[in-house]
Amino acid sequence: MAAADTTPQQTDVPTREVAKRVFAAELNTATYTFKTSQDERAPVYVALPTGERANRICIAGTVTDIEDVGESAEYLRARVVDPTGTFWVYAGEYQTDALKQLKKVQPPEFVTIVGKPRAYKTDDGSVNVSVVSEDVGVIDLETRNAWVYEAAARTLERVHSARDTSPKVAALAREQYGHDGTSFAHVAAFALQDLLDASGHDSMSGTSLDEEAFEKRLLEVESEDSAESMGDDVDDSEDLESESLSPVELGKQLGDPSEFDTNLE
Amino acid sequence: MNTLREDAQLLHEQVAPHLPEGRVDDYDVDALEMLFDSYVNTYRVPRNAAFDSVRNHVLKEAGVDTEAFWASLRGGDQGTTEEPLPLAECTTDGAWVTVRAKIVELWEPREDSIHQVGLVGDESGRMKFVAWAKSNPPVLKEETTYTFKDVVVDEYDRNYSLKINSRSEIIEHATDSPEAIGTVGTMTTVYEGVFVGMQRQSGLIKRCTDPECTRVIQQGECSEHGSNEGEFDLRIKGVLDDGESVQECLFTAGMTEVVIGIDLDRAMQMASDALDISVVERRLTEGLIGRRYTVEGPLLGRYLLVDEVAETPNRAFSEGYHDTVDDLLSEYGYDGPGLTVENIEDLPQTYDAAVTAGEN
Repeated sequence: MAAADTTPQQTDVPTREVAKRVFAAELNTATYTFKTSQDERAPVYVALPTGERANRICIAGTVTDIEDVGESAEYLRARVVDPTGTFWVYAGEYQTDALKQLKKVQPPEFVTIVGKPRAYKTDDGSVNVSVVSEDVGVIDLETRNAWVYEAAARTLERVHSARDTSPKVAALAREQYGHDGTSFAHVAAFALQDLLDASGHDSMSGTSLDEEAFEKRLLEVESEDSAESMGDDVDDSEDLESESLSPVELGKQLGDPSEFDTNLE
Repeated sequence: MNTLREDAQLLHEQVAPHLPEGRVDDYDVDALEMLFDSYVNTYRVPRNAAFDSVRNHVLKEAGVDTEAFWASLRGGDQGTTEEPLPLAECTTDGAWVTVRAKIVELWEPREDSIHQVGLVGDESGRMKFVAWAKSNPPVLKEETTYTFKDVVVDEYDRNYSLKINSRSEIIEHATDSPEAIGTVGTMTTVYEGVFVGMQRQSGLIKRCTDPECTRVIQQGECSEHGSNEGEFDLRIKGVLDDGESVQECLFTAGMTEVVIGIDLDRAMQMASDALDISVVERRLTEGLIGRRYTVEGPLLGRYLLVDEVAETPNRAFSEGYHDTVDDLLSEYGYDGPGLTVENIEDLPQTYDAAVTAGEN
C-alpha cells in the first residue's frame, strides 16, 4: 500500500479550484470576467477588485428569502446577506444537488454556499454579479462567524499582497475598475467590527455572542437590502421591511448550536 | 523565540563567509532583517519556518556554493545535524541532513540509474529514499537501521524524499543495538478548512468480495473479478478548503461515524428504508457541506487519510473574539475600524487617498 502511495505520481489530475472567501460588497463589484485559454471549456474567472482571480467562492451568511424565478423549469434565487451586503445565489436544473439542498432551507437560516461567481449584463446595460451554487449547507452562528473572520482575513491579505502574489490579475483589476480595491480593507474592518459589536463588549469567552445585538444587526442588514434592488450593496436605508425577519425565528437560529448535531440523527 | 533581528544576525554569521565577492553588502544584517520581515509579515511564512526559508532564499539568490556551506555549517559551532534529525523534520528542500532510520520497504527500481529505492522510517514517520547507482552506495537491507550522514532532502509536490549521494556516509546498526529503530511512526498532516465538496463513490459503497481486491464495484461488476455480489462499506471522499488550498480527505467507516454519527449499520438501514443506496451520500453531504473541520492523518497520494476529526468553528477564536480581531487588524496596521454601513460606499476608491490605515 505504502509503495503505491509514495512513488511519484505524475498523473495530471486537474486540481480543484480553491474557493475564495469574499464579502458581498466586493463580489458585487467584481464585474469583469476572463479566461486563461481560448478553449471553450476553460474555466471562467472573475477579477476580484482586490487583485486575485476567483473561479469558485465559498460564502456564508443568512438566507433571508428564496424565490422561484424560473419561467418553465424551476430556478431558485436566494438572497444571502453577510455584514457587507447581499449575495444573489441561484440554483437551477443543472445544479441538481444545490437545488435540492436550497429547497430545504427555511429562511432566515445561516448557510454556507460553495459556487461559481457569474457576471451578466442586464437589459439596461449594467453588469450584475451572482453566484451559481454548487453546494449549500445549513450551518450555525459560530460557523458563520468563523467565515466572517476568515473572509476578513483573506480580504486584508489580498489588499496587502495581491500586487506581489498575483501581479497580473491585480494589474488587470486595477485597469478594469480604476482603483486597486484598497477600500475593501475598510469593508473587512467593518465586518470585523460588526462581529465584535454583535459579540458584546465584555465577552472574552469567544463563544457567547450577544444575541440581541446580532439580531438587531441582521434586521439592519435586511432592511438595507430591502431598500434596494439587485446590484448595489448598500443603499440609503429607507423603506424598511424589517418585519420579514421575525425575532422568534431568529431566536431559533441563535439557540444551542449543538442542536444541529442532533438534527442529523 | 528570537526576534527577527536576532535571526538576521544569526543568519548573517552563517552565510557571510560564503557570499560571493560583490554580494556581501547586499546581505548585511539590515538587509536580512528586511527579508525576514517581508517573509514573516508580508508573505505570512510561519515564524518557525522563516529561518530556513530565508536562508534558502539567500543561498539561491546570492549563488552560494551550498555543498560547501552545509559542510562548514556542520563542522562549525552551529552544526546541528550531527544528532540525527527526525524524518518528520526533513522538510527543507535541498537541506543536507543526518538521519537515523530503518529500511521499511525496498521497491523495484524502475531505472538503471537507481541503485535502491524504498521507504525509510523512524519514530517520527516514514519517507521515500533513493540511492543513485553512480554514487556507489552499500546494499541496504530491509528491517535494518542505519545512520545516514549527509543525505539531501528533496521536495516534489509537497512530498519529501531523501537522496543518498556520493558524499553520504552510511553506518549500519545491529538490531540489538541501542540505535536500532523499533516501531516506525506515521507522519501526519493537520488541515483545517470548510467541507466544500463530496466526491463520487462516497456514502454506502460495495467492495469486491475478493479479500485481495476490495475494489469498489459498480453495477455488481468488479473491474478485475467480474460479476460480484459485493460487500457494503461506508466512507466519505470529500474536499476541505481553507481559501488558499484544497485538501482531499478520505474518511473510513469509523471516521464517518465520528464526524457525523452514522455507522455502517445505520447507513444500510437508511438505504433499505429508502430502497436507494444514494440516500446515504445525500445525507452525509447535507450534514457536512459548509461546516468547518480540523482533520489529521497521513497523506496517501492526494488524499489525507483521516484518523482524527473535529468540527472546529471556534478554532480561530480561541483567544476570544476581541483579541483575535484586534490581532488581525493590528497585523495589517489597522488601528480601529469605526465604520458604519452608511459610509462604506463613501470610501475612497483610489489607492493614494485610501487608508490601509496606519500602514507604515
